Amino acid sequence: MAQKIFSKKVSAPRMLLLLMVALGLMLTDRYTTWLEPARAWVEGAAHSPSWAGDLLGGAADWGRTRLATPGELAQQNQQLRTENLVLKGQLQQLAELAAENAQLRGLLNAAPRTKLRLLMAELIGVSPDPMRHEIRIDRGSRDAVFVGQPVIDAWGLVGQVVKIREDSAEVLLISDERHALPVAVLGTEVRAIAEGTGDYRRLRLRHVQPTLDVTMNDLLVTSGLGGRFPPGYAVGRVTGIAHQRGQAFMEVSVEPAARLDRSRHLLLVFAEPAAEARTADGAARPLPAEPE
Amino acid sequence: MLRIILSLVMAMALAQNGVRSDWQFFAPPLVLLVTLYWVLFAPPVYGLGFAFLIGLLLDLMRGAPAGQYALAFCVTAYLAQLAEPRVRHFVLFHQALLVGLLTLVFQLIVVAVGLVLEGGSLRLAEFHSVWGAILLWPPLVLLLRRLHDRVW
Repeated sequence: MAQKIFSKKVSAPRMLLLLMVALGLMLTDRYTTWLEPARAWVEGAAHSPSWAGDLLGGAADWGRTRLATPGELAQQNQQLRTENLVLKGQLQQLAELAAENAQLRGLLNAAPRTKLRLLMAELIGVSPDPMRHEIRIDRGSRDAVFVGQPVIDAWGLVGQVVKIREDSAEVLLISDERHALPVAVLGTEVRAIAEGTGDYRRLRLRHVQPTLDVTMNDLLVTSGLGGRFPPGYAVGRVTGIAHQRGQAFMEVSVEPAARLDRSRHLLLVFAEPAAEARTADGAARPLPAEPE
Repeated sequence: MLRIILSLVMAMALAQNGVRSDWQFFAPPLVLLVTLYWVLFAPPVYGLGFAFLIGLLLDLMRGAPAGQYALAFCVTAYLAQLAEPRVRHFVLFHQALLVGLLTLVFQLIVVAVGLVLEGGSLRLAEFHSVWGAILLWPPLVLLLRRLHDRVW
């Protein structure tokens, strides 16, 4: 009866046809790159709304600087000066340490560490999907950003670039479920793999043997293994160790050092290989095996 | 036609920007709700194919596997069409409950396809958007109805 009264027809065959098309699209997208041009085009067009959203943040920043009273600004200025002085002092020490380290590495005949160059980037968008921890930054192929490039903020490692466009790039955060990276405990050099959990405030170390030297509040840094992230960047602090009797491994929780859900200013890391440091095949020179 | 495009573009622009907070899982699928409104209340031309295209557009925009949202939009629109004769006579609150149910189906499809294609783990939080959808539906319908009838 309902079909007769209401003119709108419900079409099951059309629905099935569209289902087939959707399945076909999924397979096409999974096994070929044919859909990439369409994707690039749509993403380019979709870019403008996200700029509109960024205007809000920009306006808030503008308001904060323009509407502040002179007193507040003077106070802020003073604070920044002090901070700058302290940082400069620490930097002097760092220069000395770097020199000493280079000397020691020279004595050991180890390859000098690669020099790193940083490029500042600004956050211009975050993925609307809460299960995808991806952010967009305002640097792209124009600034020589490359896929796999490490991204840090003032506090620690943020993630890596996964997709680049001309003037923007997508960064996969270390807290995304699809992300994992090799880390080492600072001091003991115990190695592990830190996986994202889909929670901004928690990473997890998997397959950690109960006999390994990992304790609460240990600082984890990138180990540099795997060659993607340079060694020594802070990843997070151990906040929980759970070991159930009879289980072969412990579950270690880590709180990320970087402010993954708050940082607006990020740094892209470029590695510049030191010129004389490498042998022809790119590998570090081996230590002399036997004293002659 | 113009009004439909306008409403969808606005919904997409709003949904494009995520908010980082503990409440983000409750964010209703805005584009889906707007699409459902037009499938339910616009002329029958805006049916399955329409929903499919919107879904596909979203897929390409989000950088997710193509077809994921297209499939979910299509199935949800089909179910909405099945219920359509009754929905027209529901009060807003009942409509909202039904839309919540449709959102649940939508989310189930999206999550299932995502698990198959991309892996990852299942989280209950992903279904919180149903509550957001139920809460948002009545004001959204009132707003879109004004746009639809061109009161301004």
